[in-house]
Amino acid sequence: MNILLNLGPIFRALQRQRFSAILVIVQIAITMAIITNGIAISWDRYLHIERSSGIDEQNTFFMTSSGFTKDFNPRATIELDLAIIRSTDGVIDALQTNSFPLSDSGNWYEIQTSPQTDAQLVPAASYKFDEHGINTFGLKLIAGDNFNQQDTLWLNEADSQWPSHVLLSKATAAALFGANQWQIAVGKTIYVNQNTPIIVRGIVEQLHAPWVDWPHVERTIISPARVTHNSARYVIRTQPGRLNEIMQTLPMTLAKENTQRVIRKVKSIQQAKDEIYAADIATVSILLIVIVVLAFVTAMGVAGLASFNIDKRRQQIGIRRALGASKRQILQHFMLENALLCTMGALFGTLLTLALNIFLVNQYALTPLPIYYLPLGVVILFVISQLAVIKPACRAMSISPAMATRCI
Amino acid sequence: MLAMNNIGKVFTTDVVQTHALQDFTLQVDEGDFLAVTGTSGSGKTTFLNVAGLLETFDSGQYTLDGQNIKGLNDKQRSQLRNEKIGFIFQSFNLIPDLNLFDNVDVPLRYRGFNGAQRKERILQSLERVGLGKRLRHFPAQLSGGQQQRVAIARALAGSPRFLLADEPTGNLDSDMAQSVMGLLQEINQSGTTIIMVTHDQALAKLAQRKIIVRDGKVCDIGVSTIGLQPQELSAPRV
Repeated sequence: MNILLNLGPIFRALQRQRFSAILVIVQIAITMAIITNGIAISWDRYLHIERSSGIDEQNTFFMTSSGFTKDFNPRATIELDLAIIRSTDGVIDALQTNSFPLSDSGNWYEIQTSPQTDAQLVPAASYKFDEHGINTFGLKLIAGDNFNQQDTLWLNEADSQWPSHVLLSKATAAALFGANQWQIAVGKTIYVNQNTPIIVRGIVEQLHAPWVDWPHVERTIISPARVTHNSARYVIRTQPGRLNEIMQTLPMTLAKENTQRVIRKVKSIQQAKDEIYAADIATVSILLIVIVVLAFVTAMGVAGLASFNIDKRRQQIGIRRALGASKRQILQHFMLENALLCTMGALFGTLLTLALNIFLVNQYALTPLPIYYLPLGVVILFVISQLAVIKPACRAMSISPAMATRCI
Repeated sequence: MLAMNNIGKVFTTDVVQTHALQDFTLQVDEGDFLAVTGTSGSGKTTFLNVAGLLETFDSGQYTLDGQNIKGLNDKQRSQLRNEKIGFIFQSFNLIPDLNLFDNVDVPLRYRGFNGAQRKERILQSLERVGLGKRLRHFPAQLSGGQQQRVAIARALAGSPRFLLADEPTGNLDSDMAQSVMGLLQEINQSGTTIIMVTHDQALAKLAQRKIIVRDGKVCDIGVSTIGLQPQELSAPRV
């Protein structure tokens, strides 16, 4: 027998039990709205956390060297330190930089393709490091060339000079020259601070800005320069599996080499990432807990109401059995009844999900819900609800047909 | 057609064993109208449950329409019940949330009839009991007698070989009881075998045959006064 043919009488019978039916429908609809939006927000945050910054996050760490004596020589220290670090066993490469992805500190400039004041301004985070940057960060040069050793300028902190050549991230090139014409940026002159001309030497596929929530996080500009300052930040990339060991030994080696400074803030990129995304991780964790608890409470609610309805209809089930229903048909009856309620709840829940999402987007500037989350929400609620009703339905099918002749 | 030989049925609790049926032996032929009487607790309803495949039995032999019941699984018993037996219960046992059409439809759906077949049978059987114009009414909107007629229509819709009636007039006043008994007699005359459990001797007289059950055994078999009409029931009914 096609079990779906039984939908008609089940639906008509449910109309006579409106209160309990509406309770289940409302519960499923509310749960669907919260769970679907919760999953969408969690997934959005997860992708935000897990996206690549463009650098080799697993094998890279950084540390700060801070000179504290009057006769501390920053430039000599940086040169010696980099020589020591780069020659250390297990180190792939290293550099000194003003900033790096996930550091949450740095500066950005507006760049443009022509010096006119009305030209389109493209904000881009500025990194200053030498030709070792490509190898240290594990960047992929997709057009043009890397810097040469001779390109690197030594700048003072207050120096506003720009080198003659820069590298751009692909997103910056695309913002300046168009999404499909980013390649033509190589060799072109761009302008920083409205009228400082610089030639684009090359383009790297991806390098994030230091600030993870910056709307233009993909846009960066790299100039071959080292800033001389008492405090210098080194970024070191190690061979896979040697990060922890080198993070422990290298600071001690450097500290012994020059006693006029201290080595501090030794941290892996992964640690920095965990810290910077701590709030997002907490948000995702709390949302997932809420989703699981809500799913459990809904499952218990559906199971409880199904149990109540089955207890109330024990004799009716006995009558159906007496009239020829097999155990399987009784099980199907209650599963189908629940599926019908769940379908109605899901229809109502779809509208509620969209309404909640519109509210969240308007109030908290969240990403609009991708449409495929709606069928996903329906499937999740359907599975939860059907699983919840299996036990009460099994209890129903075990009711004896002799119940029909007993007075309750 | 229905043959029970030395059927035994024991209900066991933690403290006591109750022999509801003991060496219960009975033969019912096609077209019979059998009344089963006895005092409360004598085993009438247990007999009906076993005969109607609502309960299993512990010992003995039971053959229904040539089929040995012992050893049938639940699905086979359900199918046999659905195809060969119609039930009429004392408290009507209609499903309150379904209208008359859907109530009569219940066993037909389990039988696997298609929509057109079901509709034809439902309309015919409700017409037969005089309720063909109240298809969309719910049981609560009917009198007791009308509800029992719906139950009879439901029992008849599947064209069963047997009709098992458990105190079919027990919840009805005398006029309605007479009406329902008249209907049962008419059904019997059209060839359906009826087994009616009742504690009412006056009703039992309307059957062709009656047996008395005492302590789970058939203790007396007799032939009723054939031809007695329901209208001739003189004793007021409760």
